[in-house]
Amino acid sequence: MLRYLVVRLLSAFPALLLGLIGLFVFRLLPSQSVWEERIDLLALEGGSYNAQRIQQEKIKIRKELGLDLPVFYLSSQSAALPAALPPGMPDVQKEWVKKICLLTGQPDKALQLVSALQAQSFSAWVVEEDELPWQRVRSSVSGNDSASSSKILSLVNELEASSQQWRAFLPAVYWNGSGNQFHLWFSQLLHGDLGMSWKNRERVLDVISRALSNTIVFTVPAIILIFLSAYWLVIGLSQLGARAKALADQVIYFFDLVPLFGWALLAMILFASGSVFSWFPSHISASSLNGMSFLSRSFWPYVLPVAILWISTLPYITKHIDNAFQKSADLPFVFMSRARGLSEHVIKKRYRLRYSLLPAITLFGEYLLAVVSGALVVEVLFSIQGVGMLLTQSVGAQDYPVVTGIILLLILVRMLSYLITDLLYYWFDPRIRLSNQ
Amino acid sequence: MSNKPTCRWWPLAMLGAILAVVVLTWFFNGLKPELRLDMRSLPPGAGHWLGTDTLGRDVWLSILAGSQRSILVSIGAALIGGSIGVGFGSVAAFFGNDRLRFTLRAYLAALLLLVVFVYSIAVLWPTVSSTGHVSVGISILLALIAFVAIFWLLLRRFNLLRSRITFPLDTITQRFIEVISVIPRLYLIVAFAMIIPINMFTLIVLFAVTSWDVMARMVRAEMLKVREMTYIESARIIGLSESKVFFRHALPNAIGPVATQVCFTISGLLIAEATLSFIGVGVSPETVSWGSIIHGYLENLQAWWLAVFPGICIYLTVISLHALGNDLDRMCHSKH
Repeated sequence: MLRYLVVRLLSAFPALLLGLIGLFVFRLLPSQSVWEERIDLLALEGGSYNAQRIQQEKIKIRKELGLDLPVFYLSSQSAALPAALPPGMPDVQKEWVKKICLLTGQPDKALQLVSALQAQSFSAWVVEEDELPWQRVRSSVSGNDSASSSKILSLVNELEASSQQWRAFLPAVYWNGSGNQFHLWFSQLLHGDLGMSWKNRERVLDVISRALSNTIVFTVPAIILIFLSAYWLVIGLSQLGARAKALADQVIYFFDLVPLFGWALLAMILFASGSVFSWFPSHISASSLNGMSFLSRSFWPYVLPVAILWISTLPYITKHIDNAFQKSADLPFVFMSRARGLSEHVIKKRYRLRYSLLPAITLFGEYLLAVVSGALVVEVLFSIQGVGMLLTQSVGAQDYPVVTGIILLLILVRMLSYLITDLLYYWFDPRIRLSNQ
Repeated sequence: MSNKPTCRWWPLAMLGAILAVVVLTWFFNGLKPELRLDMRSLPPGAGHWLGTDTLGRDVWLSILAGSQRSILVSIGAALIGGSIGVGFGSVAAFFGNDRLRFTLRAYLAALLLLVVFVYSIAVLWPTVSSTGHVSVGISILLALIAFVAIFWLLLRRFNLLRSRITFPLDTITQRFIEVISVIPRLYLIVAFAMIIPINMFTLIVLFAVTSWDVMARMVRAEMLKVREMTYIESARIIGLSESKVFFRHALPNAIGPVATQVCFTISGLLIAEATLSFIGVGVSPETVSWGSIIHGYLENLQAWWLAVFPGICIYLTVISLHALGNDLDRMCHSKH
């Protein structure tokens, strides 16, 4: 039993690893400007509109979020660029230095020039498309006669004279050691630490677990209800006559094609919005969810969400169980049971139904996903503060750590569903149980 | 059934009508609904048969205009995803883990090309975009590629590094499919909305990327059957090249079930598009789709007409697509 489980878990491992790497790539995909925008917003929250203060704040936040570190163990860039720029340097100056380095291939001298210019409180750092950067330096320094000005001029002349532009096309590879974003992110992940939410500086784990408890309240009852009612429905269907069965099949077929949000809207219009009836609340507010345990929560508002998830998934499951049930009618073990003189009812309930539950178990992962996806729609419609709602809100606020955490949670749920499927198979299917002993 | 099964007329008629509406709205700009802020949230009545939404747009005209986005996105994504799936699934199953063998020098050349690729992304691109030496950059890139090609040709000329190593294509494809299907599509696209703007084009790409796995699995299963057939074996024996066997004999026999699956995928994507717009992902006042009309219902829970009429359109389209898919399935199976 244990060996079986371990083998199944290990077989899921490559997908998990690839998923994690994909998650990290997801972080790198957006252009840098998206994060910069976010950092700008955070910096402005400090309340200061002084450019220098904002700059300091940005450097602090970038350090706090770990965005100032290199991305991966290895990095590669042009050999003309300096290996590391001074951490306190403002962004415009960084752009300026990079451009000078790429034009001259002399990183050390370019850095010298910048520090000399900083001492002079030079301000025209803007990089122009059609203008060489040092023309601006020359014109700003030319009026002065001080020693530092002449030093700058000589530096500029030297840079222009000794330009080694070819160096800009050479690659340089750097080894960043363990102080890189991937290493830190991954080791934090292994310790179960998902970091801080960028939106309200709360621990991601707390944010997600709070949302998860609101989602579980209506998804878990729905999953159990789907399984149980599909079972009883198939028994009921098997007792119908031929014409009634054909009709029921048609109904199931057309119900199966109704998308989940169709059911959700129908339920909303008929029972909650007040257009026809207003038996149920149309908004499940956060205040009713602040109870201490699941039991103390009011049961009534959750009837509609559970019912929506239930009816949108039930036809699909029922169809599959029923198909397997029909096909099981003339299998050898049924003949054998008849020959033993068992009644048709006992054969049906104890042997054929058990056998036809197998495809439903295979589908468990699939319908768990359907319920999880459906939960997103239901949460948006009824404004339940669950995981799906949290995701849409975090996406709106560009709260990267929370979104990563939710995706990670989904991966874990999927792995869990594989595990549960395997366990159920082990439980229900003697062929697997016996072959593993 | 004794006679050959054919397509029923009503799914074809319904889909034809919907396609006609899409084409008409493409050519006639007069069918666009206009903003009428004096007629907001009117229930169905004489002036507006299906009512108006919260911005005063006529729901009937919105449905006509919205069909364009809903239908084009799902058809486009299903076709692109279908071709990706057929490509990966059929090649992976036909060559399996053991039939695709490359020489060591081919692996080496591929590795060198990868290094050139990394170099051009990490070094060449920033340098060229910052200094403006486009011609120098292009000539360096071409020189590097030419160098790899000459290196490979030299190795081949002197027949070095010739041992062949199998490429486990099937396993790699399988792992890839697993990873794609781990996260529910809905959540994935909502998460992607954070880093890229969701519009018609990106939606097609995202749908295509997340929907090719079903098709690939299906074609793979079919191809595994086909590749063991005797006619494939005899095609090999008479000396046809692997690619000819694949394209002439194996692929045409393996893509039968794809037509059915394309219908189902289109209907699934139609629902996915509507669900996304309903949640509010990729919805802007300029774009109209069936889902975005329903999204208006969230703002005004009394306006049932915003949910019911587009919902009926989606349901009818889905039903006819499924009916067509089932008919195609039956026709496909009756041949054998």
